[in-house]
Amino acid sequence: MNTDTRTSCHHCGTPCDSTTFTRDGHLFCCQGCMTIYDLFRTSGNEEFYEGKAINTELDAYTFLDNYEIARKFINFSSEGVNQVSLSLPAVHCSSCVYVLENLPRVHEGIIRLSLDFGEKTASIYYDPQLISLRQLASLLDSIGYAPGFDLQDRQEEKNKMRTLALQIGIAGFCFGNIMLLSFPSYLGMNAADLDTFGAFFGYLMLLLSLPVMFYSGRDYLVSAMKSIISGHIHIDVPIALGMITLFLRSAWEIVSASGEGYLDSLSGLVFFLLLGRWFQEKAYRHLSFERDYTSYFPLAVLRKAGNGEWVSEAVQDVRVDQVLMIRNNEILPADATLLSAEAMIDYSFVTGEDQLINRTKGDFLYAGGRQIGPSIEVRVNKPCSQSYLTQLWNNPAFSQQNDTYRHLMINQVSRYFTWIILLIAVVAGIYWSWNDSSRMWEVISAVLIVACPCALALATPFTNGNTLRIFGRNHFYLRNADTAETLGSVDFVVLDKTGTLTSTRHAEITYQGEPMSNLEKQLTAAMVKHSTHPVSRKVYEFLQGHDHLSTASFTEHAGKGIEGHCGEHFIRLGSSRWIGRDEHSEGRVILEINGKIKGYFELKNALRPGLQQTLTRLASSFPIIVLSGDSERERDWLSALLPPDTEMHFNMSPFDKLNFINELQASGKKLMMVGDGLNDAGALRQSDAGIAVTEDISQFSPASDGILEGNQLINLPVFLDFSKTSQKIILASFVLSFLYNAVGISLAVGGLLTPVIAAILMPVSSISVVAFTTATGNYLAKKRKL
Amino acid sequence: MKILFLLISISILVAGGFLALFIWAVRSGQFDDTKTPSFRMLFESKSEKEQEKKINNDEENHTRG
Repeated sequence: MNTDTRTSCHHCGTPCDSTTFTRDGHLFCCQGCMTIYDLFRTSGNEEFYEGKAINTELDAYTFLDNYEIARKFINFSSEGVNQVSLSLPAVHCSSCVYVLENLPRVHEGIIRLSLDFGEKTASIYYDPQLISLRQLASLLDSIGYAPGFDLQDRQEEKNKMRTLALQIGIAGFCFGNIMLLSFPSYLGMNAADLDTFGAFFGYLMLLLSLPVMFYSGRDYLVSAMKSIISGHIHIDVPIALGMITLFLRSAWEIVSASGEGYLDSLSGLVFFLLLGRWFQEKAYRHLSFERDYTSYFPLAVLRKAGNGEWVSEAVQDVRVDQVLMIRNNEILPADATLLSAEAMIDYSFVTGEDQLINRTKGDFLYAGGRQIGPSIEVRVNKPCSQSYLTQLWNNPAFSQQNDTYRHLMINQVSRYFTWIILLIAVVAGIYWSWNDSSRMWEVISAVLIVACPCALALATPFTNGNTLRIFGRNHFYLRNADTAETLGSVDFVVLDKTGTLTSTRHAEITYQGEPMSNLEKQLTAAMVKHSTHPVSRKVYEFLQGHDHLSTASFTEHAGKGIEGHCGEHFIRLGSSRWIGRDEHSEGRVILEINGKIKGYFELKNALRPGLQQTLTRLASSFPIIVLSGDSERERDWLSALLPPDTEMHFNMSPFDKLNFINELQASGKKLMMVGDGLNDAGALRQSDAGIAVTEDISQFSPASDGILEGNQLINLPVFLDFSKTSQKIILASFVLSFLYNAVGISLAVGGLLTPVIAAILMPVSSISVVAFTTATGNYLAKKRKL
Repeated sequence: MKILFLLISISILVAGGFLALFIWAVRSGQFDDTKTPSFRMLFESKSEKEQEKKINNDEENHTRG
């Protein structure tokens, strides 16, 4: 989506498409930018913050009063200081950093707040005697940064990256020094010329190569050993073989004073390999691809205690027959029976059906629904872990390791590669044992050294890593580099309907009936702005620019409609049954002003803008299948919009979707599933490449292999096409590195591989392959306007 | 030429010193977040040294305990 100047933030220029933050007619992307704007206008900072000390305790964070839950977030506490790490998904520009890091000046209880911009997390030191965790969360929420509480351990990830950085640093250090020490031999001097220096240099190099071999290169050795034990030969085996041969032969040459070894090649090899790994791993650490229902469900709910008081209870501890209170916009964590008179439940996330469902007293409610409207009371029927929804997570699809990666190109190639190399080494060894048996071991080790598939191993991470980066620039975030390769080999594209092809945000609202006067538009706008009901929000957007009046009274009747006074006018907006007209008008919202019906609003499902052409284009290269939780009545209008012969399945429950994917896979096809929401979670997980579509990447998305921003869905064919192209780039670089290997091996077999040639050949082959994949990838992406 | 033994040993030691600094920097988390400090340096700050001190002390106690 292109953003013009109208929709970019007045302060920082970040594109923004909501109109939430305006001041003096300027649009801001966030509260932070608006605050800065205000700061610039008022002279001193102190005045601004005055009167801003916020002591509210928002209901949404009641669960933090439960000590057992709060304790999980507190990383350490000592007298007067607690430290928590919270994720703040709203953080997105430099102003956010400023506003948040100056919070200690707003509230004396906050001692220090430091933000990690990339990961959108804040580490906060606070004094629990002055501010409770709940107050802290409420304070952050009230200034526009609603904190997210997930129990994910980021520390482990951080430590992994730190170790990798250390390994690279140490390998680089040793590589540089070893190169320096082996410089005399590049100039053609041998150990004899160098007198006593030869041994000195040699042992120094050997010393420097120890950390390279056993610290930096440790992972390759371990992984190769595991691979041999499990019987699946992959790329790490020939690498480790090459490393060990290089090290042993060099050590032998140095100790026996017969040469200076190949330690420069060894350390260079490890250094470049680690760089490739860094490139592959340094992706989007702030995006979460591993979420399950626990991060979707609330952490705690309000439970009625014996004395009739409401207490906060951790969701796992909810027992059968307990009475819970579910407030507006909260999610029901367990299957339950409704005790209140009426409830409006939004199941769109579970079933995919985009409709509010009206339930009355005594009805059974499934977990996962969101209550819209006033608080309700329910009695629990099943504990949280056994509810209808959570059963999905007990499906084997969630416990099994995704083993599609075994089929990756590089691992298929390296299986043959390893055996061929060993064969060549043996044949060359036999030949030399007849010809000149003293050189047999020299030749065998030379073959193993030069065949070390360094360039081969680098081709995949660099190409896929580059693809990942290019996609990320276009708001398509893949879980890891290997997914880029899986994407390039799919046979089928399975799409979810609700939320993916259509989205409530893009549903068209139309008004039918007597044309509204300007005043009537203003009256209606004044009404709907108080309601959080999705239809009201739509009507409000429809009447944008007419919000000038304020209401005298306003009442919302859950499941029926809204009514209220504005000046001397009385406005009612709601379902036809409630308004009192018995026309056949399911799904319409009737507008009544002063007892007279003006007309009705109607929500029409619509495909996302531009999607129709996209689907046509997609259908030309892949069979498309559409799965929907909606009923058959959707078929007609949908089939008119989709390419002809599109397979469509309706009334699919989350389990049906999962089974459908399973059956397709059983026929040996690779497929990509594109979906949103919890109802697709199983299918996304089971498919070879599951892509979650989301409007806002910081919000919840189910476990998946990739996250795609909703408005980028139209680019899906381009993404798939490019994935295919990058597979070709990988193949091409395989060919290139095989050529290098062919040259190297012929030299080695002929007994001509000197340390100088090895020292030149190995880095040159690695660097040229990396340069080739990156440059070609970028060029082709540019050509496709990615 | 014998002086080379000494010179090379010294140069390796000096370089090793820098390597040690690098290891310390990574371990202390200076490479964990490379983005935020670039914003932070632009803000005017009234440093609150006392509080910093308090936190540092607490952290030390924490790691020791």
